[in-house]
Amino acid sequence: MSLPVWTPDTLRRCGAAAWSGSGKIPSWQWPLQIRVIIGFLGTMMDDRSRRTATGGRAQDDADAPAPLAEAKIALPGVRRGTIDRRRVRRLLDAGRYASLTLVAAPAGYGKTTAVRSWCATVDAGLAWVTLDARDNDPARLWRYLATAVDRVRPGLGRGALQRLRSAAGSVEDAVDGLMNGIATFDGQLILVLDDLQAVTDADCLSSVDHALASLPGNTRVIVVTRADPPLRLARMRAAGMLAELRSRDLAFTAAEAYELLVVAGHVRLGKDEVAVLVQRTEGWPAALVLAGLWLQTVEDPVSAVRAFGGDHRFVAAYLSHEVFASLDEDRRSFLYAVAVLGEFTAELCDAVLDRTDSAARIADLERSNLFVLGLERGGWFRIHSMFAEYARAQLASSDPTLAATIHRRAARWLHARDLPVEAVTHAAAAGDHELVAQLLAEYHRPLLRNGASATFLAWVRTLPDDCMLEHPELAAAAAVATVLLTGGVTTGLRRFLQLAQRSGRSDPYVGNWMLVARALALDGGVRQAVQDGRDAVELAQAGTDQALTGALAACARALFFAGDLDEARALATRALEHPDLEQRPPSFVHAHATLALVAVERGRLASARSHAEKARAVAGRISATRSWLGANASIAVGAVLAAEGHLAEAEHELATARRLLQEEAPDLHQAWLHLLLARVRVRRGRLDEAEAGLAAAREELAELGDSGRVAAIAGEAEREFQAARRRAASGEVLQPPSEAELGVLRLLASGLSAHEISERLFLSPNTIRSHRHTLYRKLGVHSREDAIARATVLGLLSTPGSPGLSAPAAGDPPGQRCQCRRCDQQDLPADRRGRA
Amino acid sequence: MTSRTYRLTVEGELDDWLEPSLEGMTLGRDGGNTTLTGRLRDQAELQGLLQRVSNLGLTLLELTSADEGGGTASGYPAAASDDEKA
Repeated sequence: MSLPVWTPDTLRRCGAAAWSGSGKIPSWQWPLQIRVIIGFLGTMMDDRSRRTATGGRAQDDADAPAPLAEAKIALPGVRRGTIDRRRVRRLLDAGRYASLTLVAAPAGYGKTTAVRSWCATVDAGLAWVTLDARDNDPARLWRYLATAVDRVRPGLGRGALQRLRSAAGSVEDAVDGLMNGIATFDGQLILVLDDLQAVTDADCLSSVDHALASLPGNTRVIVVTRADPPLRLARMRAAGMLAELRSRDLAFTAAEAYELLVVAGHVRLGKDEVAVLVQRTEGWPAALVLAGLWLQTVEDPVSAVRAFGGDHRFVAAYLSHEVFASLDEDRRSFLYAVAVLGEFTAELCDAVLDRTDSAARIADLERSNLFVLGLERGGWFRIHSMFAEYARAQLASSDPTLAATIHRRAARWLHARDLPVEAVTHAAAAGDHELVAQLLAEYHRPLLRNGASATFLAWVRTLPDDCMLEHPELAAAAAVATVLLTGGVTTGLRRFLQLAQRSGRSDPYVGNWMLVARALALDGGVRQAVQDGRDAVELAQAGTDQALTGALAACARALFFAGDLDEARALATRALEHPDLEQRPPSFVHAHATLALVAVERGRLASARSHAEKARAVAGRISATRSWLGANASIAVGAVLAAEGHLAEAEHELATARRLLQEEAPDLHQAWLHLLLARVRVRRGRLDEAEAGLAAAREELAELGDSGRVAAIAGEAEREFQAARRRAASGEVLQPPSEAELGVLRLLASGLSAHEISERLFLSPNTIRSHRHTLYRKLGVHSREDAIARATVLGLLSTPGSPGLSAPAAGDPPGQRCQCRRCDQQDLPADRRGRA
Repeated sequence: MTSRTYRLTVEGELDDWLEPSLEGMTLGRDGGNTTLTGRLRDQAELQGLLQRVSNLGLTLLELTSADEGGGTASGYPAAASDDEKA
């Protein structure tokens, strides 16, 4: 098969066509490489044209990773000059009954080398993923893990990859799918997570925890890290499920150092000099390897070691400096360049350094053991991170501007290959605002659509005003990203909206984003938000309809706040029916959350629950659970739970959502959330907290002009609160509950079922039900939640032994406190005590 | 979040050529060890510096905020720190 000739230029054109969705070049004409790259990017991209043009074909391509992804899941090669460390191998062998092996040590302790060498001696399927800071996204993380597992035997990761592609699937589903897939593998499987310290996102780590908890028996996970990860290590250690290798275990002994330096490295040293080196380096493997490289170049290694032993300089800095100094100019500058790149191919080096012999140069560095490591696939190489750090430091002190030039060129090369995150990372490292702006202008849509709002905003915030004015679409998109992330009215949001406005271009695209941001933020009143939403929909319909789902979802949201539930429902449904929806998770979350809220108002709880769960699952998949977008899913779930009578869970959801909202000015969402929480707390009998929430909501509302139906909600909440307060003040119960009934009530409050209570109290379930029935009658209530709320208000639940329940207020009628005190004197209800 | 002056002590004598890559921190000697002193804007910058220290394989011995007990900017009486020195 002959492939069309492809140059960076044709690549860029193809990429641009795919981004804009205009599809000028039929996708079947694209070179194979492009299809593979674009296929992998999958949901990262606006691939409408691809989907329609190639039908099912695109789905197959989506499993094939892009070249850079290859570097993530390729096995590191075994580096030349490494020695067989039997002691370390035995330590790894010893962990075979543990499900998790933690290899934790600082940089340069030979962690990867040790694990890689050991893996070569084991008869098992091997899936290896090397992580970095860009993998702080659960979907991305598990896409790599599932792809790596799928390479062990095609099909093992298919279920997980399919679930990750579906808009309605959650990451946990995908993890379960992967575990199920692995369980069908007939051999042993080793899953290596290298450099896990780079992953700090809580959702990512909890997904790893989830995987460890459901790991099939044939699988062993090896975590290689510089910092102990916040996983459930203590629990696993206690259960004997954790094996550990730490710096103490990985440090070279004198015998191992002798083998490395003298036997394998051919440096003319005696045992005494090796002992000096081990003592001076404390057995730190990287330092010993550096020492070997350095000593190979000196005339008299023995006196060099003596001098080194008496020196107090930091060993790695001292030794790497010596190694750099021993290289000829050409090798040194090439080494510095690849250190700046970190991960590279010969082609990338040729492009960046404007040369044609990079492949030979890389082979030379690899042969000389200069910490360059080839990966077993895809032509990618990696340079050891610590050695690279020293090389970059040397370069910074000798030529302060060269690193920026290299980064800039690498950004252009990666851009030509449509690797957005990688390209912008290099542009940002170059400190080139204009290039960052250009790249973001091109890539912001897929970034936002896939929940990378935080990443996008972090980059946009580094840009100065004049740069933003050149790219008004960035300012408008940043406004939307801010709303998705923080929800509330902030100075950042207003700055972006002003910049978009100031740019003065009447670009419909910019106008659309601005309108969507304003409709979602509710800054300027509910009527204005509805108007902005309607304008956005109209503009999108008139134009390319790129922004139609976003506009529909935002408008539906504003209509909900205006109290026009019918139209809110109609527009949210239209948003969900749009064929582009799969590519627009934020709109999906907003639309489903709105439909859930409308359904709750209509009393259609089954439908509400289904919408709320879909919103939550997608927010989780795009790792947006801790943003305002995720908070919207929480609010929907909370509203459903409250309507179902699960008040404690509802309060938890709503309180979580309120913590996620960040605002710097009076904000309607804030008032709304205060009210939702206050209403749940009234029903739970927690009147003091409810009162504080109502006061906070009143304060916000007083500063806001047009609050739509939130004002009406405030009225209702106030009435509910006053009624509860009146009932509490009257303090009357129809008839005081018996001690036995109070005992049951306390257990009901702790969330136990009638059946569980009967087991706890050694009574029959029927007796419990009878107590419960009487209790409800005496308290004048009809449900468990109401009984608990009523009992809380009356102070009937307050015993010192029941944590989390408030002590009786000082103003409670003496009769009730007396009753409580009698209850306190006994651990069990009276009838049970009589029998004991 | 206000900026603070931090001082890190790391093991061993660090070469001066590393200073440009330590983003504004000033290197100093303290016995056989090295101090890195500088003003950092917030916790994120501090975490970034700690990451850098880890990347270089340095052993962190101590981390203190030099503003503690009142730098001149904080308006605390300078006499307190003079007393300590005395």
